[in-house]
Amino acid sequence: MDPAEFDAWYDQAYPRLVHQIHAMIGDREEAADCVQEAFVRAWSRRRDLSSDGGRDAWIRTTAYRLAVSRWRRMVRGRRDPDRALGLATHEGPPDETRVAVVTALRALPEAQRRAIVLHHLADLPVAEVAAETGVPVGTVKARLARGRTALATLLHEGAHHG
Amino acid sequence: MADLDPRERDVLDALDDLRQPDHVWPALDAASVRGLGDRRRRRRQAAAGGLVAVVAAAAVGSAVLLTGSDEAAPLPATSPSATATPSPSPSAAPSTPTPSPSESPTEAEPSETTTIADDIPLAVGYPDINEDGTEVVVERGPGEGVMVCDQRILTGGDAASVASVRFLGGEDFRSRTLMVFGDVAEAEAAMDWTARTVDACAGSPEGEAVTVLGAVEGADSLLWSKAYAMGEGGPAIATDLFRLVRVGNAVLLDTTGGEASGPATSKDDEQVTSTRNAVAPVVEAMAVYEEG
Repeated sequence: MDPAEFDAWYDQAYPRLVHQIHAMIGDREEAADCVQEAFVRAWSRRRDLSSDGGRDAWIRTTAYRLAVSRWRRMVRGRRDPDRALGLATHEGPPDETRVAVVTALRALPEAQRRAIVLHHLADLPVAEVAAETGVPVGTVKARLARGRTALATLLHEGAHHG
Repeated sequence: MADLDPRERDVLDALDDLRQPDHVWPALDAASVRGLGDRRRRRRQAAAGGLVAVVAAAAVGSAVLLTGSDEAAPLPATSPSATATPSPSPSAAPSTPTPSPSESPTEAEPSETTTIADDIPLAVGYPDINEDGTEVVVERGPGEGVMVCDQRILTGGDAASVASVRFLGGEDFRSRTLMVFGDVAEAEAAMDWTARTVDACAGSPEGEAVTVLGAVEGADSLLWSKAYAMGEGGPAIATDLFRLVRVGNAVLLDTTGGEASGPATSKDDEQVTSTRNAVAPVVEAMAVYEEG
């Protein structure tokens, strides 16, 4: 991958990958940090990266693992909830509906949330979700069904309590 | 799609609405990201250059860990005296370890060495730089110790000399604390007290995620692990491994936190063997504290 190719990929993929990781972990700034760090690692290992559509999946998986690791360290009290690079992203004010959906997503079990984000937000077919998360297709289908049902209840409750 | 439950239709609409990302401007432009990636690559290549020497040293040190530094030493975790067996629990914080004649019937002369040399290779195998760009450095004075059922222990606050180092990586955390006690009895008492504290924690409701391996690497060792799960009953996302090694009047605490690999159950577990090899050069250097 040459610099021009990387730059084009970064500019185009960064917003959507931040969006997807944000939906998975519920923290926009942390998602932005982790995706950026994943791109740094991708460039440092560019010879290992394939040139097909697997690049986005690599960034998504790396960023998600980073987010989980950071969350884990914060839980242990070893790391203040600061940002690794200390740099803020620039974005507009949050949309209330989106905030409600992301909040509801956060209430789902992690496996269901990840399946829903990959399928409904990242537009991955069920088989690709299965490949990226390392579980059988049937398990992904079950997670999607249970996740949507739980999400319906959560959004319904939120609408009646809001 | 027309026969969908209205609430499920709402969910699909909400997810559809969420599908289009707001525009987010990256904090760094692509050229800066590449610059950071190039630096990361150079660091990795530099670290790989030093690996050969470390592996050679590890081969020697592993033997020390598995055979024990002193086969004649009494087993620290099984005190022969019933009166010397307190029952620590997380709610009743065990007192600071203090040596008693009944806990260490055979140790003899105090060690002559209670200081830590500047060239002790405590950080061997660690990267030079933390994830946040700060340097990995060996520091003097009490370390951060470890949490055992909400109790922080093994900071080295009662030792004659302490040095510690930690590495904070993107996906892992490692630390080592070398505690040199006034004599062998104190070091043995620290090992014994820690073993009982960890056992008590593992047997309590708070210690559900703690697995005690015990002295699987020799009489003067103690290993335990702790698993972390994403949410209650969720899948394991990380495993921490804790290792305590005594050589004479010195005790080394080695901790590693990495991705989920399930609880370590034996000395042949992959996480156990890899960390044993990594810490072996430090254990070898601790020979200066060996009794006799």
